[in-house]
Amino acid sequence: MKNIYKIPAITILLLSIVACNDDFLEQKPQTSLSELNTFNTNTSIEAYSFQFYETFPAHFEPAEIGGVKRNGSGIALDDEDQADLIEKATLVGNNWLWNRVTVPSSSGYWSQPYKNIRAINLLLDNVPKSNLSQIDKDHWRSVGLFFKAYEYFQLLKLYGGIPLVEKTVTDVDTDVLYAPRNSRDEVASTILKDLLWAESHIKAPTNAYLKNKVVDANVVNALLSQFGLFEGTWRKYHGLSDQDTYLKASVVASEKLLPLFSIHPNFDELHNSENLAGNKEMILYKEYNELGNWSKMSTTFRTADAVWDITRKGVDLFLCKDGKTRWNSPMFLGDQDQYKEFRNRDIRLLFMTPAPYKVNAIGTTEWSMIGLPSDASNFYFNEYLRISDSKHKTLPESNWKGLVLPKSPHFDQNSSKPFNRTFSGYRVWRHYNQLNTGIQAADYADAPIFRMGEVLLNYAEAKFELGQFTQAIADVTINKLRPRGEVANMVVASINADFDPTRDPSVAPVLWEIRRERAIELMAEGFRREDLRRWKKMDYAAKTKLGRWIKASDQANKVPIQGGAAQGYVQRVPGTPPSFPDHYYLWPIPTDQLVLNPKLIQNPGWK
Amino acid sequence: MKIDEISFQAPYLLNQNKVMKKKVFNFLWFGIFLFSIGSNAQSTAPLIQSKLYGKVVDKITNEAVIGASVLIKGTTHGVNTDENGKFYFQTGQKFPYILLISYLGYKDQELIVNGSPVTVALSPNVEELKDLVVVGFGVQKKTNVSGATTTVKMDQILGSRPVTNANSALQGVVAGLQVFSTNGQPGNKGTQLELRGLGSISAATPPLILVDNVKMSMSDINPSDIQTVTVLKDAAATAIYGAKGAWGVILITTKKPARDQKTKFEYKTSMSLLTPTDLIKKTSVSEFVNMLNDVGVNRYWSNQNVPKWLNYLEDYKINPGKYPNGRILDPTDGFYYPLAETDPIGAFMDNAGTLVMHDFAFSGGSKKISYRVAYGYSDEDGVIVTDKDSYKKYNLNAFLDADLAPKLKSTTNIFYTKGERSDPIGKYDVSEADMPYFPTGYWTLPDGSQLPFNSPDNFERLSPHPTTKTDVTRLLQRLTYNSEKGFKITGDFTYEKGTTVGQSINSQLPTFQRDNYVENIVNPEKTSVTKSFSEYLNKTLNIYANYDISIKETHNFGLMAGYNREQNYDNAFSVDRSNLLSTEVPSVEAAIGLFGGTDAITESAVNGYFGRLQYNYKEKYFVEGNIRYDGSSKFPAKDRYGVFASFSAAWNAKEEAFLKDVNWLSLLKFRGSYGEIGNQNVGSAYPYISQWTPKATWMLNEAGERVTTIAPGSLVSPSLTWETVQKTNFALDAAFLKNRLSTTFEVYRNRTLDMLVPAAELPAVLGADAPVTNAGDLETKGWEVDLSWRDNAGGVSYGLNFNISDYNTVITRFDNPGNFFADYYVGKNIGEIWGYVTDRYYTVDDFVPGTLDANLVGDGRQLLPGIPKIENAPMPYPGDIKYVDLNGDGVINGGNGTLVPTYDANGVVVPNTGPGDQKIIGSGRRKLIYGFNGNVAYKGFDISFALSGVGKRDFQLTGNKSFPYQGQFGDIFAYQLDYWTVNNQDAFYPRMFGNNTNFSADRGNYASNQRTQTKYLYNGAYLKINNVTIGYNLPTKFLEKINLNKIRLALSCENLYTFKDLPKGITPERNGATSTYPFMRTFALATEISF
Repeated sequence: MKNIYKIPAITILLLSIVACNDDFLEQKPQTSLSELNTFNTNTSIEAYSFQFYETFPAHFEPAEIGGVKRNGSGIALDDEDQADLIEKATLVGNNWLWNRVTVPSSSGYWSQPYKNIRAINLLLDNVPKSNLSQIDKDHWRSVGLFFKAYEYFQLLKLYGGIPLVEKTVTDVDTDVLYAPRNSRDEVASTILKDLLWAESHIKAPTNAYLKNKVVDANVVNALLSQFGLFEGTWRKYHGLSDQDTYLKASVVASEKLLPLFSIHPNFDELHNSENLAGNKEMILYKEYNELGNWSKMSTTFRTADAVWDITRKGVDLFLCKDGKTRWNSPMFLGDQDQYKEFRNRDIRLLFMTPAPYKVNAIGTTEWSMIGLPSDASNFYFNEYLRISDSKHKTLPESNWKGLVLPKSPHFDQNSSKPFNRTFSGYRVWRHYNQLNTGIQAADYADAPIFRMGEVLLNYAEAKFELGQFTQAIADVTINKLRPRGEVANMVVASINADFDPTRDPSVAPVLWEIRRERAIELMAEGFRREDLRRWKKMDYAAKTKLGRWIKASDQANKVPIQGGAAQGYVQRVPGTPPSFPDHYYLWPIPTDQLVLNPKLIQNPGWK
Repeated sequence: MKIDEISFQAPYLLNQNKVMKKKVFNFLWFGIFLFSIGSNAQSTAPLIQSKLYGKVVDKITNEAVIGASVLIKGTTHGVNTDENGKFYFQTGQKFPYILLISYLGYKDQELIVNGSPVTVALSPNVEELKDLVVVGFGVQKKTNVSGATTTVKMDQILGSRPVTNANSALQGVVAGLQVFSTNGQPGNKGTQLELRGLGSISAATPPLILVDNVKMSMSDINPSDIQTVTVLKDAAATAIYGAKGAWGVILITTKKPARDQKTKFEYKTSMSLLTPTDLIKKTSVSEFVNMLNDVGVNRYWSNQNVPKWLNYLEDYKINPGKYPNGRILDPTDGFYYPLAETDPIGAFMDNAGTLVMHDFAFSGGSKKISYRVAYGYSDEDGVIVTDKDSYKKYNLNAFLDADLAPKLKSTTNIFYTKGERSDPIGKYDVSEADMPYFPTGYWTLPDGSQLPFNSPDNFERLSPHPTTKTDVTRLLQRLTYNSEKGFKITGDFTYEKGTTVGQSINSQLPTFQRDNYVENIVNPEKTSVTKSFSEYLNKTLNIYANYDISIKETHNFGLMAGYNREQNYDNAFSVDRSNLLSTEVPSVEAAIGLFGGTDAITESAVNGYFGRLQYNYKEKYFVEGNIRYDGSSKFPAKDRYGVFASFSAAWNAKEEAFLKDVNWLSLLKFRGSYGEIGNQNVGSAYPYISQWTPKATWMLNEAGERVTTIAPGSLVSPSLTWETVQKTNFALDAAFLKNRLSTTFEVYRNRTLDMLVPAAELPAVLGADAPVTNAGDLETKGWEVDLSWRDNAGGVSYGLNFNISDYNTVITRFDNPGNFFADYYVGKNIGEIWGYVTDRYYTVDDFVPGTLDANLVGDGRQLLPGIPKIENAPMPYPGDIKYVDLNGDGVINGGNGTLVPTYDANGVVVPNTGPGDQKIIGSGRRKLIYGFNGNVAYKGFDISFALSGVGKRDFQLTGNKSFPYQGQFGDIFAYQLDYWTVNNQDAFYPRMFGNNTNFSADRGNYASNQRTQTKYLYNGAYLKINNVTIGYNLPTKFLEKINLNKIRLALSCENLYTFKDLPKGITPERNGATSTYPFMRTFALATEISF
């Protein structure tokens, strides 16, 4: 029993020994990685690099991944609302076109690319420290440089010169953080240099499954083709020097791709295919699947969320099948009879906006033909069966649940169904498909990122700007695209000053037709705003946007018509926009950045 | 370990009393064993039967003294007084004999008794109130405490209340302790505790909760097991806990057995009905459709033509028989027009929920051993339809105290709790937002089959509910060596392990759409099951020694030194898989879709050395110092340790000669303290390490699954370390009129220094958020008043307690170079609301005459010169909100979000800089938080009440509660019907439409009308009746006949009523306006029996 007194003494002794050792305070994360263990193997670096792809415009996704999504296709349509061929449903018009843009206090358009660049720089700085072979190191450096060039390009398009961040920086690197903007020349030459280096050092994917899904030399060339044309023409039309360097780089890159890719015969299948693997037009695409990796792209265009229309001007661009414009083709049947307007036209128009029809339907999946003369509505039912199928686009159109829309155009102002609406008459339905009708936000059509169709148009335009456009060039570019629209080939020699009476006289007739083909082929893909900007032709957009020709009484007098007339073209936004201010060609830098870094100078004209 | 295994291993130990003394290892069996000894002791027949009835009362107040110990001198025969202060002996002793009566806080008394009955009046130990309070690693006489502490006896505040979580009982009880819940869901009320306001902007700042010295969750403990709750508020009281107790400490002491007690059984049970306190009121169908008409919705989004709908509603009023289903399918347009009022909230709820609670305890003790074993069980079935919103809780708490040797005591505590919760799915806020005509029940398809409508009640009824099961086991072993010369050493080790197992299922229930009458096609590929598991292990070691010495009764010293180590381990993982083969078999193995999963392990540890020195001179002047040297695994090695110290002093003026004879003054004491404490609760477990997280990405692999990528972590500051909290406290304790009235007044200032905040914003080219650094300070100043009164008049004893407190928190250091007021800035009051000042509505008189037509619209409308207009918004209409043009620039805008405008070289304000027309218009912080409780007892009856409330608060309604009909899918509630129309221009809510021909296209300025502004800050003050209890204790005489100590019956109502100034259905206790589960009112019938 006496011994029991020793217990506390011994306990204290023991514990004081234990207490002196505080190694247990040294704790490290056990379920997360760090900079030290992320860049060791090709596999881990590849996994890391996959986050860079989130910057690409893909389809709307149910839950956006990777934070701010700058480029989703819906955003692309919003961007195009800043140009002339698309109109978003508002009553006041686009802020850019109505000179209502104020300098934002902060902007993801400025900050998100730099977030992406930080992740890229971490790869570029760490890969040389790894034990990989030089070839592998060069490959990953190429991937990094490609994406960094892509991010710089996004910033260049909007802001012009921007600060370049060429290494991983932390909060102590004040020389970089508080640096002034690099000049446009420095930014553009850095992009070009990085892309050229990447093009010569990048490897093709070893895993066949990843072909056309990851960046390879072809993807680098596709970006070179796009960037070179953008920068070359920007420089030309904005009075800067050195345009040919970039135009030639574009041409060289496009020419490398010409023998490798071809044009897919079905225009609709570019954006509405279950699987783009093996599609010869795809240089890079994003895969979606039935297993839960869905988009909500088609769903968006089958609900009330779709609020974009093609303008009168956009529809008028489409040629008749004889290759002539609607203004002088004998095949054109007029724009006042809605059933005739789309006849004999480039069939890409039917993939852009639904043809008119009426059926007996009360908003269920049931419907029956209304018995219009076969020459009217019924024509298009058969036309869609000819050019499309039940998985893609057929009439009558339906919402995501499959509920049938009784008629199209389906004006919102006189709406009986709150989905698949149009506001000015020609709703965008390029991304509409019926692959997964009945299930919301479970779309799995793959999304093209770079496709040969665009490269051909880049090539044609760059060749023209270099003074090298010929019938032969037309035959390998524009005349590869025309068959998809069932439109006669372009005959360069036949294009004279009278070919299109609505032509902007300051644009050469052939260039006008090259630009027309580009506008049609890339409509609703998000290119038009940058195209007008680089051509310095934003005045095209500073015009009243019109829609379909209607009779007011047919729409219960609820759809506004130009000039308040009883019949005429729909005009949603009253008045005429002011002229486009010169300083609007570059975006304003957000004020928070100017406050934080006094060396950043605002683009001229912005207050 | 399963409880029922424990209970029945013991019998073979019976009557092995001698073995006992040698082997005291199996404490648990021992407890059961003692129980049987207790029973045996009672059966010894006394030689002479003499009976003694007695009562113990307070000499001053004449109030019954409950639980006083009454012992017959020279024997071991002792009893405790009951709820009425009464006791009873049946003994073999002959009169006269001597009773020894003692009770904490009273002078011991001996009384020679000559017969029955007797009344013993105990004198409170006024000069030396022996009330002991628990302080960090020790106890102190209440009068000697110089820090800011409040002690609450749980039995007093809990009484017969039907609460399963002690949090609820603490609401409004302790000045400065805020207790607020966010909803009324069984087992998941989202209760938050905050002591003396917000301590840091880097993380939440809840007080540290220690149960018998060791960290534990308040929700795990059974309220009935709690003896006292002591709240330590200032640095003097909490410095001993170093870096964990920066935001105050709540010390919970559980009920302990006492020696020399015969076995006592206690059983408490209550049965309660739960009903929602306050439900939102919907409009009628007519009111809703009329509103659509008023704002220009010609065609509702679910197709109905609004004028036609109104006609149908008119006809329905007259001929309801024509519309047997309460709706009609219009033959011309083919759409359904719902007409009948439905009750989606009613359908979502049962009439009442139920709560059943059982508490059973037995305790007792001999000279060397004492024990207490308590079982608790509660079963709460919430009010939502189905029995799946439920919470069951099981508790076991077993205490064994034993003298291993004359000076060595062992304490063993085995604690176990199990919780089983089933969560509702449909969410109350969905049923709140339901239209007043939404059908519930089923829709019959053309083929005769039935589909449930997609109503919240159907989801509740027909979908599998998420379940959460928790188990916590805690084992505590303590050895205390007490030299009886003032030296005492204590060592304890606690091991706690908790596990949580969760399961949730997405069942893709096929339903019928109740707004536009179409079938919802579900996707079996989207079915999924998620299973999660998490566990934690906490190991805590405390060793501390106390030494108290008194020199000639004048110089009294207290010394304490100790060591504390805590190691925490958390491990959580979950797995999910889509595309279940059957939703009735929610198994990842019985699914064929994509797998997903997460895992996370974190470990942390604290190593601390601490000490305390106390000195007082004749218990008149007090000084005390505390110090702790603390290390935390959360910081890099070089910044890991910190020294924190506090100092306090007190002067008990009543002890001075000049006050000694002032009879009306019972106590006058001044206290002051100052100290610095660390805070290590700063976000993740490894705040100084940049963690790179794997996540699924864009790219798919050959299996069609998203490929993992690794997102770089945020920037971290390499010099990250403690936040330091400086606390200063001054207080006055006074008692008057023989302690009938006692008061405490405290003022304090808490400064949090080197708060972890994002460093000054850096240019975006960094590509990451600026790292957090120790670069912020804040300061909280506040005060607290406690008042209590207790007295006994004419046989009625009563007590009243009132407390009120307030504080304000200001940022005193924060790098905000841009001066943006949306961010923190120096001088910002936490809770301040920036917004516009509402002037009035625009009226016709503001417009150029002739530019408006009779309907007060007009495309060419123009404001008169000088009438301000909102920038970048359409031209207003009459009925739109006109804000005050604070900066007089003729337009209403928010400037550039900075605090002050920029001036150009000429001293002229640069346009669009500064706050524009915004200013601080209010504060969402709760001010003047108060509590009031009291009790009255007369004979066997007692009534008690508990109130709590907030004196001032600006309350912002959010979401659909803030403004009516905010969009095409919007709601309008009954209180929102007073909206502007041409015929109701004096309305509370503004104009919701532009030109009212097409709402969906033209909402006019409605968005601008909804800016944060003075008019729509609601008064968030309230007074809540937390509890009212009426109890009756059966008379002792009756109980004796049936050999019972006590029978008590009580009716108790929890959350009886809230007085408030907010619309119906908005509970002011919440932070916002949207609730996921309504608050509950509980009516309980409680019974207590002990013998």
